[in-house]
Amino acid sequence: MNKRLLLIGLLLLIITNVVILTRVAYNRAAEVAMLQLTERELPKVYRNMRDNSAKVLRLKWQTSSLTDSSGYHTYYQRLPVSDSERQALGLEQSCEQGNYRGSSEERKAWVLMELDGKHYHNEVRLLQAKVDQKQKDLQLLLAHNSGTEGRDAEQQKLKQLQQQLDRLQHEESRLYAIAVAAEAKPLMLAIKGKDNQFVVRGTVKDSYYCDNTVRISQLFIDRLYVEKDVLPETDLLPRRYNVEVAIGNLGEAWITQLKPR
Amino acid sequence: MDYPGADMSGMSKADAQQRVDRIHAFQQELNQLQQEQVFSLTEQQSLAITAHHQNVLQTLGQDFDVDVNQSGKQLTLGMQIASFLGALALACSVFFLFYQYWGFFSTAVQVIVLVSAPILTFALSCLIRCQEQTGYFAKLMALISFACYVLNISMLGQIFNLTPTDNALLVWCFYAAILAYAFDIRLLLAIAIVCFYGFVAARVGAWGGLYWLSMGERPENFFLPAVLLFCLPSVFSHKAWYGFESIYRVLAICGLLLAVLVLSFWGSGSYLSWDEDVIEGFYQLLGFSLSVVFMVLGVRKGWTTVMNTANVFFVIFLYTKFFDWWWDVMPKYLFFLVIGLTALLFLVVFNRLRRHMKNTAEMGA
Repeated sequence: MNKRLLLIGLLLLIITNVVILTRVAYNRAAEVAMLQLTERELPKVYRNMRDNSAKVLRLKWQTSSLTDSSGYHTYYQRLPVSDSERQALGLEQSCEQGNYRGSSEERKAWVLMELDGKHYHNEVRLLQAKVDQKQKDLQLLLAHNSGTEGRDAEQQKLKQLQQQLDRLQHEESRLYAIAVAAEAKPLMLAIKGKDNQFVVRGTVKDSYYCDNTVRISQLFIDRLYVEKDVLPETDLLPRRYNVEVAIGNLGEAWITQLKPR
Repeated sequence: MDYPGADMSGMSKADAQQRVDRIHAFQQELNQLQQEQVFSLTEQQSLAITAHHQNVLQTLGQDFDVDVNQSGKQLTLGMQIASFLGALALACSVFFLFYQYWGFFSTAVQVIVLVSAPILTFALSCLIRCQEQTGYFAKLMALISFACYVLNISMLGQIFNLTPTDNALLVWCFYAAILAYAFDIRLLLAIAIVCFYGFVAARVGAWGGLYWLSMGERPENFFLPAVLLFCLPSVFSHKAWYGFESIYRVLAICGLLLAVLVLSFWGSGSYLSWDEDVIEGFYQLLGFSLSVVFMVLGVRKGWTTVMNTANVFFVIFLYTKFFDWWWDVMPKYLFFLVIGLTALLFLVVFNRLRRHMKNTAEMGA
């Protein structure tokens, strides 16, 4: 056996672990941002507990609905960007409107997130307006005493909209991705003094549609592991909970507190 | 043990096994020649040769743990298979054992277990290697150590929510290569090569602005590592490690020709700024040419594995093209007839080539 080779192997094992743990310590040395989330933004990741006993939460987020060319609202985690921003991100220049793009490459980006802010409340307002409009339409329909078939269909649509609104107000995530940029600096400047906004790293792709949007394909804060020390009393996660999440020096997040609600 | 005519210096296990095989072949041929009354040794000569061979076999068996007879060889193959399956199963067992219970441990305990597992199994591999002559148990433990190291890095990433990085591929590549060379494990060398491919392709892609996990979207990123891997055994001698050279060359050809194969059907994945059809046509031609080049190189240099791999790729390139051209336009019976006839054509060509090589060898003799 080559002793020098074995020594290098042992050193490799030690050095990689030292590097990883030092990185973790440096990241957690300071809290750049502190977020107060709930099970709406951080639901549990369901797993077969027999094979995997870890408790993991998944960061759930969305983007404001966009209206496509056909007038439908779409939620494909798309955000509008200008041509210069697209170029800075290293993505293709916009193609001819109305066409579709083929596969596109992922590019690193910085994403500005907002919790329970203007974008979320705007979505609620938009949906509330739709519900109100549908109610008015239904009242008009009833006033004109048209056939039951059309009335039932409209009532069904109203019910669906009300359920959608209820989910948005009480179940869905209030965390919204509101802007992307190739560099962190402009986004950092934008969040100064706003405690419900933070910046995370992620990747973006060109949108399928030939329009002025990009698709956020992933955020680097995605799954958060619930350490045993955070929830020492029980092996089960409560149904409803408040979670305190810290983001450190290197933009990596961790759960500092998890309390049942 | 020293005796005249036995120079063991610089001999590897593979060399030792070849010597044993040569001795057996010599004994069989000698018996045949004596039976056919072509040649006979005096009793003294015969005894001297037998005694010498027995000494050589005994020493090689002791020093290199080679198989000195056919049944030993068969058992060795059985042990290799058992060792491989055992290592895979034990590595899986380590993974699932940790996954099943890690949620019940505090972070400190998790870190201690994760960090110490590869170090302890590594130390154990070295200890077993010193005690054991065959090396199978040490190899098995080394494979478990690698599994523990993969678990170590990936689980620390999960526990501390670290951003995924291609550096993990690099350190896995290094550790797998170190274990492969230290314990003579071909499987770990193959794993190291796969990690190397992944790392270089990811890094080259990242330099071009691509996110590292999108490395598969630019198959040309695999060309550079493939060329490096193919040249490596020609630069550094691997005489002491049986089969390592073949693994380097075969995986290099696989990496290179697979990337070419993908590009021959998916021109938009190329860095070239030509028309998509031109790119695909170019890579189709390149695929055929490279397969032929590797086949010729394999024949010339006596690299059987290189020749066979190139042969397989040539057939894949040909049949995928046949499929592309004719599957939709031809009735199925005709399509398979064409495939069958092509196989027959190959047989005829190879047969002629073989006869030509035989004739050349006879003329040379």
